[in-house]
Amino acid sequence: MIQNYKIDTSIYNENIIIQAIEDFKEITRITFVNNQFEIIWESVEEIEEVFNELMNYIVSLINE
Amino acid sequence: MEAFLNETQEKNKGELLVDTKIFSKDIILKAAYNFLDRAYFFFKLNKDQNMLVQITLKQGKEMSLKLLSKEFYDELLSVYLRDKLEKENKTIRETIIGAAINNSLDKGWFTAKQNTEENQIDFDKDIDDILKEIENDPDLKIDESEIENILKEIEAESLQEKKPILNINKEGLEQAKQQFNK
Repeated sequence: MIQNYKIDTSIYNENIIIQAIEDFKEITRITFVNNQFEIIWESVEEIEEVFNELMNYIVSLINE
Repeated sequence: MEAFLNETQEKNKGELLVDTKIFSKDIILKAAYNFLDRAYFFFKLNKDQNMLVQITLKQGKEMSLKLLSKEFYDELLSVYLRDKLEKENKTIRETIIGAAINNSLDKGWFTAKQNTEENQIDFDKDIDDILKEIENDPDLKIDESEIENILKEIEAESLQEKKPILNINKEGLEQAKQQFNK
């Protein structure tokens, strides 16, 4: 399954997004093209779970 | 009255609208950071450039979304005030830290080594060595009479410096005597 999520890059810094993708690469394959995350996983629910974890991880990177 | 924070809710997911003219993007992200253990956060800006905060409760958290939203409001205010105080006190904090660092540099342990007995002994030893070297130098010719003359000149100069110079104002002295006699 593939899901796309559009991101507002005025809120999320692109360098931090790149770092987060790098840190998540062992969990799943995530790409970021045209301000959109593309996540591949087995089911939509699981993709949403990965996306939620990814966005929280990005918030923590921004604040640390 | 128009609420500056709007909220919509569905099951374990809710959306808050935060006015970015009051709470900056950084304040909102910091407040969310303090809630990452309880919920998932996703942000986007609406057409008025205000922040839409999507909150999804984490599974296993026994807390209603409504209560979490209220706590998030409080956290927004708390982070905002902390940030404001931090900015206001920045100069004071920097001054205190600067003073603390400067004072610590003046402590004895930074300069004491120069005054230790060990250093003094080493210093004396060096002087003795130098004097011995001078005495044993075969090329060195000491003109005793020249040294004597120099010493006499120094002594004469120092005596002149010690003599007090008196400038007596005779007229002034007379006037003072007359005043005293009256």
